Amino acid sequence: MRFTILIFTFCITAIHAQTTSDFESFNLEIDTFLNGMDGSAGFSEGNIFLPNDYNTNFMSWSGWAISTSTDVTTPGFTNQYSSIAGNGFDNSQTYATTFVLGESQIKLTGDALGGEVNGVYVSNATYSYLSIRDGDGFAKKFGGETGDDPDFFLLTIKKYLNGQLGQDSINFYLADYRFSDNTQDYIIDAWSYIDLLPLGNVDSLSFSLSSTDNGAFGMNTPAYFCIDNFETADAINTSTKNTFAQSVKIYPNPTSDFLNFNLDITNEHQVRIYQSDGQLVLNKTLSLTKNRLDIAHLENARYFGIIEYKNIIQTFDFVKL
Amino acid sequence: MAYGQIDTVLHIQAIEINAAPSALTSDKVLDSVTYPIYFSEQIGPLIIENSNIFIKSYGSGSLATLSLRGGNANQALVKWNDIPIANPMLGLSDLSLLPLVLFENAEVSPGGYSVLEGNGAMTGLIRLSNNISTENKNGALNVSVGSFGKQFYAAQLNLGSSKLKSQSKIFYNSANNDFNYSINSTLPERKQTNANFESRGLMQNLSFDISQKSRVNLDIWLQKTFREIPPTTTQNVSEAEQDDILNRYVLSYTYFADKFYIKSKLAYLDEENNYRDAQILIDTENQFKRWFHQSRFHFNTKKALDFSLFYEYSNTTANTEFYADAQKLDQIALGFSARKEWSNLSVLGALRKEWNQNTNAPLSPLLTIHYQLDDKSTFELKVSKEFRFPTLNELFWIPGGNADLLPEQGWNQELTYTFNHTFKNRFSITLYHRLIDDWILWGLLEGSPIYSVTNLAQVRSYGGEIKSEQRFNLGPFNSNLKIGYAYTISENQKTISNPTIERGDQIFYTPVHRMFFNWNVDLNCLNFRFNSNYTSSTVGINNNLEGYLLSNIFLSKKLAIGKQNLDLGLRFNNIFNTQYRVIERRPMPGRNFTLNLNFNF
Repeated sequence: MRFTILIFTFCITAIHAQTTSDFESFNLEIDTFLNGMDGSAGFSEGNIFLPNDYNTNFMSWSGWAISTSTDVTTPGFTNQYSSIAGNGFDNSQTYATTFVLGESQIKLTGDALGGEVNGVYVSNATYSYLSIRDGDGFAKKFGGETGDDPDFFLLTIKKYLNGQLGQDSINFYLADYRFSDNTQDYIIDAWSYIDLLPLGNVDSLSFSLSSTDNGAFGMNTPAYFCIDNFETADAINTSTKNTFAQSVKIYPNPTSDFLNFNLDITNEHQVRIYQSDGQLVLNKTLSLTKNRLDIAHLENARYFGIIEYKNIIQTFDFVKL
Repeated sequence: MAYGQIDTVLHIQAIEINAAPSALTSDKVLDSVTYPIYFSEQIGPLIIENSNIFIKSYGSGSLATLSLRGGNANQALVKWNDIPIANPMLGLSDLSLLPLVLFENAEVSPGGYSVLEGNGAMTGLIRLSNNISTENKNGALNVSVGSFGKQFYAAQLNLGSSKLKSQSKIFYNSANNDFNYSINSTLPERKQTNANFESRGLMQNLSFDISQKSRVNLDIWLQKTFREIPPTTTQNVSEAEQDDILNRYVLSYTYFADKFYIKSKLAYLDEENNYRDAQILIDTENQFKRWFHQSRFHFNTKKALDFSLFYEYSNTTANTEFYADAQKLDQIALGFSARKEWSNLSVLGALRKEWNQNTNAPLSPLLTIHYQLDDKSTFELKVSKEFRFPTLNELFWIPGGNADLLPEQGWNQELTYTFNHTFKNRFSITLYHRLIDDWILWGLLEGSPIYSVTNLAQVRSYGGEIKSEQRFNLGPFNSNLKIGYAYTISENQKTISNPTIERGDQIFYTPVHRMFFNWNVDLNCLNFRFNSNYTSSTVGINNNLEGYLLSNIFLSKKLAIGKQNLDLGLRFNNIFNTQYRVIERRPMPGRNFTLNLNFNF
């Protein structure tokens, strides 16, 4: 299902739309997929386009596929379309899977083009997850023979704007075995939210993968991951963009104990803090005099939040150290 | 002195016509000394411990392939009774499917043999053959048991009359291969899993003398092998397994006259290689059927001049789910050779041309000059054009196959000096150089989403090989010491992005240094043999591999029981329990033993 929510800035002067691409509009039967073999060269959903390159001679594909696969147990490339989450974000049915060859791109279209991207949920593909966990005939299980190898599987996201590849990047570890205490090693096994607002305005996004398991033929770790609920901050009235300077300032960031909110009206504001996987961890009411939020008890991680006043909301994110 | 492919040993009565390659560079690795030691093995250990040749082994009972003079496995040829038996889909022979008990002769010949032996013999060949016993009735029973659940049983029966002779062999071989291996000193040992191996087969050789000048032979080789594919050291579990089913038939006709002979062979190979992995839901059947016909007309003159004309034709049909359809390949070869001998000089020249419907190999010449300096020293110079046709998988595999591939081709030069003193002391040194263009390589081309195969590389190989054999006899005490060393450089001449190869890099899994040491002592009915072989470090696809030294001991006693005799042998392998890898992430067994019993009647 495609849905659009109108988001008003705190000062009402800017009007933006938010479009979430959740891929449900493809109406796929459960445990099926679209891999571009129909020659579509990609998939449009919401305000994004996901390119696909299908080779009819070799019956192979790269780029993006749309999937409803629920298989979280079968290793190997015969199960290349599945997310290890077993479904889409929030138990939805449909999501997108990519086989990354160099980079996979998502192109913004319509009202989203040239605007910001709020964020996206990502998960490991089952193929990658099980290969990292158990190894296979080509790729190593992370940790290696001793279990101590400092392996990682890293998703790097960059932006294109006006045809130029930006230098800023957002890194997200789909698996991280670099901890000296091996019990802290992890592989992402659920949908995790990545805040893409720090990239600013974009025309398209570039997704690339890197791993510590490499050979002469390149990366051994299967170069797959999945996305869902890709959220663009679409500009409906671009003339209102300048009013963002009047938004609520939230500081310090990063922080370890408190977050301060410089509210400039006395009314109560509702603040909600979410983990990267979308789980609500804090829900408080703030005001002009009570404008400090205690976050010391939260685990060290990146969080995102929403501050709401009547029908006006503003999103933000911060890092707890 | 005999040398070269068209050398022949001719006996009118027995009609033995052996087309042996150069005696200077060939190693007859299977003989009466090595047979009792290795009869229960595949050919791999025999070659590793008795020659300079490197074998790329994925583990005990697993795939093992040849690497001759810095070449790939599909650049070396394996022949059985003069028939090429490489899998035409892969272009290579799996040495772990060649049980030595089936053969009477095994000879390894490094060097350029494309012109004389055909497609794929760019870096050398292994020649396996059967010789039917000349005795009318005899036989043998072989039993071997050993570490890791090894069981081997074989029987041989030779029957015949003056005209019709039959040689029958059957065998059964199995092993669990559940050896322990070590990662490092701080971690507990691990046990190899999913490594069962089971093979059974038969060889039937029939020989019928139509007249004193003509003979018909029929050779049948049937074999079925099941093996599990063990996990790597960085893989928790493997459920992969493989069946290899071989059905090989060769019908030969030989006619011998005073000045010429004609030899014609018709072979039919029907083989399957089926791979399954229940974990990843793969079940593939790879099959091929091949007709192969070969004829040779050889003419001798009285002026130490002889000629040979030869022709080969093969028709191959192969199928796998990774081909669009069943693929057919017809290939034909025509060739000619001539040899002239003087008192201390021989010159052999040969030409070969080979085609298939996709492409054709260059007209390939060979020139060999053999010079006898004195009664102890000889030189041999060999220059030849070498080639290899693309395999069926390289042509038709989906994805990535390329029907427009060209044959690999290049020039090979070799110079060998041999010192031979009354057959007790023998020393030889060979220097060689080979430059191969259009080297076929799988890789990821710029902008391509899939791995594909192209004539991407150029590889220069050069090096030297030294062999020495010293024999010493004192009464009942006989000592035989063999030492060999190979220095191999095989360098990529082009920088390639995928796979990542820099110009000047040694090609993967090619050791620069290989060495073997064999000391064999006989005292009356006792035999002692010590073997040590060294392989230097190699460059692997994922990691570099350390060099390793392996040592083995064999003890045996020959017992006479009436007219029969019994050999009892005990073999200790890897006596220093060296932990080593030939391929990264593939463990190899440590110290182990085999008990051999060989009863001849």
